[in-house]
Amino acid sequence: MVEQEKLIETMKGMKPVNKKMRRLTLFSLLAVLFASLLSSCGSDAGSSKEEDGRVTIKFWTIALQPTFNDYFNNLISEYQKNHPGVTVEWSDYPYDAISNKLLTGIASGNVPDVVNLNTEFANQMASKGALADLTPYLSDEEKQSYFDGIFNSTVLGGKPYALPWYTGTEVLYMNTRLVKQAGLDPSNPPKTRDELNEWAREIKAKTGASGYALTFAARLFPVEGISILNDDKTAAAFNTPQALQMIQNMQQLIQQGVLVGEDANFDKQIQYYSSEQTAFEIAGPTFINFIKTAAPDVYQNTIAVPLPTGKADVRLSNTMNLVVPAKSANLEKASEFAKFITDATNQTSFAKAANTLPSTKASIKDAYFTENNNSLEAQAKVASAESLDKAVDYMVGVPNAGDINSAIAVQLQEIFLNGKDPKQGLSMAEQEVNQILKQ
Amino acid sequence: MNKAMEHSREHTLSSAATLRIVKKVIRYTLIYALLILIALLMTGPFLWLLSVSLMPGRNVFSNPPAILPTFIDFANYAQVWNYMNFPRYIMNTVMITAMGVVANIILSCMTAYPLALFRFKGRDTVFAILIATMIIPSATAMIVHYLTIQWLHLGNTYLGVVLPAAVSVFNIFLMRQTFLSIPSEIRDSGKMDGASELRIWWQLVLPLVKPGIAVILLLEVMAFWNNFLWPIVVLDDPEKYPLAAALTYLNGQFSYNFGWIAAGTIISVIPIIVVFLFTQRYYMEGLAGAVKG
Repeated sequence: MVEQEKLIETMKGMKPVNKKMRRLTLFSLLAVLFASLLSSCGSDAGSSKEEDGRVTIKFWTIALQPTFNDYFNNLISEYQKNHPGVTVEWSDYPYDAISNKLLTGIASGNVPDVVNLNTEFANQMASKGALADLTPYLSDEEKQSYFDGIFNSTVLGGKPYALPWYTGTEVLYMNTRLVKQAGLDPSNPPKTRDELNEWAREIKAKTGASGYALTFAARLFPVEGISILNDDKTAAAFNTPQALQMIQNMQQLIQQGVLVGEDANFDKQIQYYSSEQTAFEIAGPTFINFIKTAAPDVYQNTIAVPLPTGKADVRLSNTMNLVVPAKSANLEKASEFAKFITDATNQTSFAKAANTLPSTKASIKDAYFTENNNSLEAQAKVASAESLDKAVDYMVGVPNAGDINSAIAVQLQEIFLNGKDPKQGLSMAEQEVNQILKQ
Repeated sequence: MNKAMEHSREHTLSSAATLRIVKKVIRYTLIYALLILIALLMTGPFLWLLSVSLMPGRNVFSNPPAILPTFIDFANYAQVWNYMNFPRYIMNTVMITAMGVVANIILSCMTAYPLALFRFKGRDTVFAILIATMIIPSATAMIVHYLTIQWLHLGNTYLGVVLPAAVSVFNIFLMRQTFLSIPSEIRDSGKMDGASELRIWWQLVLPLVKPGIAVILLLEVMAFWNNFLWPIVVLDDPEKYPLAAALTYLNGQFSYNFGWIAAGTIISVIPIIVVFLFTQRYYMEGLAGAVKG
């Protein structure tokens, strides 16, 4: 029953139960969008046109109201004062709906001018030709003001499609109560993935809790230095002996109970960690917001340390970007505003207001990002900020990132959950990814 | 001797009776235990949500989950009520739901009536085409719906929210099956008295299909009340959002508070529970009737 479903949804943190259904919705929307772009129905009836130099810029963000109302209203009025004739209309939509809202909007020509998107969705939209190439509006200096790894995550075929905004690299959270119970010393945390797994084995043996939970997704590859695609992004590159080795290792870890044998999305990971069924969590700084009120006792016992690295010394970031839809009637003014929101000064102030990290090199020099008053928030901030220069988004410039990610995820689930032969699973994933790239 | 026999007969009789009673007790205990277990399984998530909302400051995901609250504190309710403009969102939801439910009842009854009782050429073809559209997943229709709504200049209006779901094939099907169970004599008698088709439909037939209408009422109240995606897509102004859409704001990465989500959800499902309590009797009848027909 609908009522029941809704309750379960809420239990899972208000995300729709049926992820597959949601993906299906998104994909069918994308398919229709693609079709409508091809036929270029080109009626930008809803989009605001320039009339006697007056321009309205529609700016969409994801789930920032009402917490940051004051911050944005100030910023916008400042911008309008310095740019006479420009009016910024700010709307904020929930995370669960923004992609659908954007796709329907683009299909009908009723497009916003500046939109907040995560990297995966930005790449997916850019591959479909829905986003504006920002090359004409960006000077070299402006390009270099962002961290290279993060900026390049949304560069496809040499063209930048998004400006990085707030970000966060992963850090390691640990439940000190469980760690101490296992006779380990939290002040001397593990430095590598192997050490982390060793700790997790100890914890499993002494306390019964598992080590950590992960999503079985494409992001597992870059951590171990395995590229998802070849350099010119024309073919899959992850079907290697190293990848096979990594998958076999993970299978073993699941058997030993070090790794939770479940494809745990972020909501699930929060539940495992909050209920002390896992001792570690690998996530960005915003993870704290999710345990602070939901599990105050566990929050008290949690510390954040730099993430133990895998074979590749990279840290994965989770970045929010600003994009300009190709159908915006004010490409230049829109890019101008997107640059303003993501410039170093404004990123610094937003990072402070929201306790996230900036993606601009100059911002990070601010003393705030090295100040540590030993609260969990400060620990995570400092640990995360330290590694920003090494950060890359796991979908570095991958076209059709959403499709590729789910093709790989399906095979990984088959291997880890249904006992499919890893070799066979890897080559099936490779075939599917190549198929997607040919489209 | 006689007395002794009688006594023993009485004895066997009473022992047989005790046995029967014991059997009965065991049977009922088993049935009730099973029913209670199922009821707990079904209401478990709801009870969990309720106790989470009543216990601020407790670990929400503690293991095993807290089904019953150990203390009661309405802080979550008070805070979430202050954080969000509930009266406004509830008003919005009531308006959307009322419009949607009324449209569904009237349109599906009007469409189903001729399909069930009239005889005209192509009737079965029309019905078959209607049923065939049920196969199309509703997700694919979203962009077409959006384009249509924009074309009608109904973007950002409640009418735009309600219109795409103003009639559903399932409801037409349900009402057709219900109308089929109405004896044709009723329509004939109305005709003999000179009533128009519309009047027969409204005054004679509709009162007989109240259980069917109650089923639509309940299903549509739930569907409109819980719908969040389409209203967000159509409405540009968050002030116009229904409750379910507004509640998704609580799930942002900077404003996450599970106690508030729980309290907000409990507030939002109370009206549905009330509607169900009132229509429950009809609901069972209506479903049974439709299946029989």
